Amino acid sequence: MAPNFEEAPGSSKRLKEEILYRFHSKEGHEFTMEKAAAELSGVVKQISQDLGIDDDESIRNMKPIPLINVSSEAFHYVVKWCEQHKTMPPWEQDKWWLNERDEEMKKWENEFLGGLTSEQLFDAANYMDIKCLLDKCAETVAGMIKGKSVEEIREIWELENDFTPEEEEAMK
Amino acid sequence: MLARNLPPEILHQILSYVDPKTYFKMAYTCKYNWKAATIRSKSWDYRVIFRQDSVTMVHADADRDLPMIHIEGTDCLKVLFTNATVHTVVCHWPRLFPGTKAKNVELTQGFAQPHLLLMLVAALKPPGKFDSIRVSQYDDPSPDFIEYVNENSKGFVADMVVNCWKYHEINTESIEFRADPTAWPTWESPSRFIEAWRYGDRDFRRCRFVGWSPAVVWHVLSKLEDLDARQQARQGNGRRDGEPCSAPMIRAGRVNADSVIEFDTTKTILKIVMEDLGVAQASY
Repeated sequence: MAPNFEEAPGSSKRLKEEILYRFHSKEGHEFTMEKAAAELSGVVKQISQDLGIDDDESIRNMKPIPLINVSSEAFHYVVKWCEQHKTMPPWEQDKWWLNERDEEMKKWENEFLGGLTSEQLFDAANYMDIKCLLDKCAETVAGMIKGKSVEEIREIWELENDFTPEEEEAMK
Repeated sequence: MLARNLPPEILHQILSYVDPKTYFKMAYTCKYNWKAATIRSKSWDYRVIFRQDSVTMVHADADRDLPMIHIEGTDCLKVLFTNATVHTVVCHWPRLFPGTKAKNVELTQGFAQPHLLLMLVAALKPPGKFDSIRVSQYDDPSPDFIEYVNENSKGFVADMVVNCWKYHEINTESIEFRADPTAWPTWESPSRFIEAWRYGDRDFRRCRFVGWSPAVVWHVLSKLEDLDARQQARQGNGRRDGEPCSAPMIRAGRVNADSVIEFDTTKTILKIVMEDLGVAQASY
């Protein structure tokens, strides 16, 4: 069932006291995201830096950030993810072992991603440069193909074998 | 969640979670994935040799099968690499074999610089898990690398390496020097070892010389004892300067290349542990 964006955590009907970034999805819906959650996104941080946004008042007065490649549905889940992770330590790109989550968070993440069937979230995480989400999406998808044959991977990802027999032979 | 026509950067992120075998199976699925899987390898290509328990990648255009990466078994990760391979490994498999049971890692240096070696080792496994890190042909370690070794391995095995000691920073539980007479003049290694010893803080507990002739070991010990005695003399404890106190044991044939030499740095005592007897004898 499609999420109800008007009641979602990222909908624009949120408390005025909160420091919120505003976003426009691909379809033109306006969303909001709490400051700490939104700043998990490398893109949000970069835009803020480029515009010289360095205080809460500037964030409040900021125009919505257009996310031309992110659907409303995907953004709804992005907001949920970021709200859940806003208090986590910063993501370590190189020292990946420092990103270990506690059991409760792991369970939440697995349940959250386990229910999704679309790659839109993956694209959104990539577009918004949300490293922790991107990494979890990658782990989830990788888990689907581990130990599988070429044919099985094609089936899982609904891929068509477009190699000619000659090309296949050359690759071996 | 599908992964159809995902941008290459996302695909690479996925691949960082799979082993090399799965990686190449994925690459074989369709042209798009094949291209995406090799997109970071614009200037070179590679082929993969699958065997029952190992995966080896070699340069496709190499005139000899010099492995870029060779991964086998689960007990030991053997990684042979060139600069390109370091890049490949770090880019594609930052979590190479997550959860591996390997307790030892062996690295054979090709043309990699120390900082790349460090990147690779760091990429292989979370810190603090290795029983030993063994490095071949490694002559000029960076301080970063030594720091990594000290923090992440109980033992450090170095082939033909004596220069490390100039940094006198390796303090893992054990260090092993394996002499290779074909690569180094036999006289040079002990000389360099002694030279390095002069600079060293001796922050290690066990040192094993493998493949060093008894005569060379004796020579080294004599020199070390010489230094040690002088140090003790300076401290006023009455030992005669230059006395090679371990010499009788060596003459008696009880010290050989397989002996483990223990240094107690706190008491400045040099002991020789005869492994075959299972006893430790104070050298004075």
